[in-house]
Amino acid sequence: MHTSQRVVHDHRNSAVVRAGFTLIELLVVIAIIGVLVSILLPAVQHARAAARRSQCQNNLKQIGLAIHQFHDANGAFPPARIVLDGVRILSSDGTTIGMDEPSWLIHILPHLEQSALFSSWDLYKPFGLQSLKIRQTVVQAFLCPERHGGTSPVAEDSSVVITLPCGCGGGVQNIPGGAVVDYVANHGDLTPGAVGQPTDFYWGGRGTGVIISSHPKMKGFDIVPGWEERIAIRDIKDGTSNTVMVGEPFIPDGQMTKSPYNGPGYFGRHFQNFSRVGGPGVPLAHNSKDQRGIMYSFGSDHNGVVQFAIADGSVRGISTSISSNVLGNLCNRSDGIPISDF
Amino acid sequence: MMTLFCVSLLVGCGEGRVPTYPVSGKVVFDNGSPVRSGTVELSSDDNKLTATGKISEDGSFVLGTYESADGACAGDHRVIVMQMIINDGTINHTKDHGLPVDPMYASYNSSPLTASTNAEGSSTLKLTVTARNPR
Repeated sequence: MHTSQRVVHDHRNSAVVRAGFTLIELLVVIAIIGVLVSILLPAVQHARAAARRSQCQNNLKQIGLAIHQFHDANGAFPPARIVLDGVRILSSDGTTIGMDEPSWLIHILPHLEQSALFSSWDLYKPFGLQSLKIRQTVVQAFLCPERHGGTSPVAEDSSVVITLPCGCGGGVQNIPGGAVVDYVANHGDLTPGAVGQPTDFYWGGRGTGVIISSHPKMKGFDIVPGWEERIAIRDIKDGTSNTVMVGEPFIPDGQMTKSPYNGPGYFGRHFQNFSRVGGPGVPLAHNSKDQRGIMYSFGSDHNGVVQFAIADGSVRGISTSISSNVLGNLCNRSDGIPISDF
Repeated sequence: MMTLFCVSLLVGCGEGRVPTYPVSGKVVFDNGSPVRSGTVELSSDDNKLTATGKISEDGSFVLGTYESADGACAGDHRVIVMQMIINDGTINHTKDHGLPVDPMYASYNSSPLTASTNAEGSSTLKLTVTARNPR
């Protein structure tokens, strides 16, 4: 009896030695690993965000180079869109023209190695009459990985109520679907133009930026190839290094890939889907929650910066806390105030 | 890895920010009726900062500099009131915009408005503008 007790005791002793860990030790190890992971995770997230930011910079660089090649080939920057003053009209074949034609992003496609896609577009025909396939073709260089990474974002055919910055809306708009873009033209600041209003920029030839809305060339009631207001490098009197060319749009939470903030980017009717303005009254939005942002503001999902392709072809991240006066100087191509430290 | 960790600690600490103090207010026409839409912006020449806020339908606004509503830096400011009402014939304007603000208030070069904000506590501004074509 005594002997057997000793045997049992020995047996338990040896079992303890084989297991190696008590429950407490195991929990301590797990806790330490947990602490290490929680320390490292933000660093990893930051590294991934930085990688996405540099991919975004790369896209802007490609777009900037494509615009310069376009300028070399055509002697002018592309028009942001083609627009008649105030009204759309019926062409000789009964089509509504004068605002719905493709935006600048389609004009530069041949210089982004997208000649095949470009050849399917008619630059001077309304967006809604182009084939569904090309309207929905996503160009990866037009997407910021922070926003649409790894997806093919296409805004559906939709009937939406668009609310304007003045609070209006209510009327339902039928918007033909199409691919969205994350890079928008610098249309300028709000310097009053022809009519002395801060909204003058909206119409043909009045933008103070680099890629601006332009009047079409007309023959009778038909649009013919070309555009009237041809902005070229010689028109950037503040210097190409002191003027921004392409940037990122402000898109509030929950509005990604939806009209009006992020609708079809090739559709000339909706200004804000492919161009934005910046300056006094329209500062850079800090992030997607910024209540100061409107649908004509620049903004980004990168932490504290909005990235821009400068008109000289370089790419810069501009702090979202930049004064709106300075932003306006950067957006206006010839206000006589060249800004070099930004 | 340690470098990344240090960087992650440094980022987002709001380095070099000028202190801001809450600013809100109301924009009205000289006849007392509120401005119903638009944007108010304060520009501080000393700090090279601008604080912006949207105007609600009752004419009230809240300003933000580094955030949506963190106010403005203290001191003297130039002020603009800007309305952006675009009618391109594709979207119906369904609201009564009230009187339109004279566009001279939309630019720092022509706006006569100024304001000063407190260094401690919050400031409440009352801005009075004139309508376009007052007849």
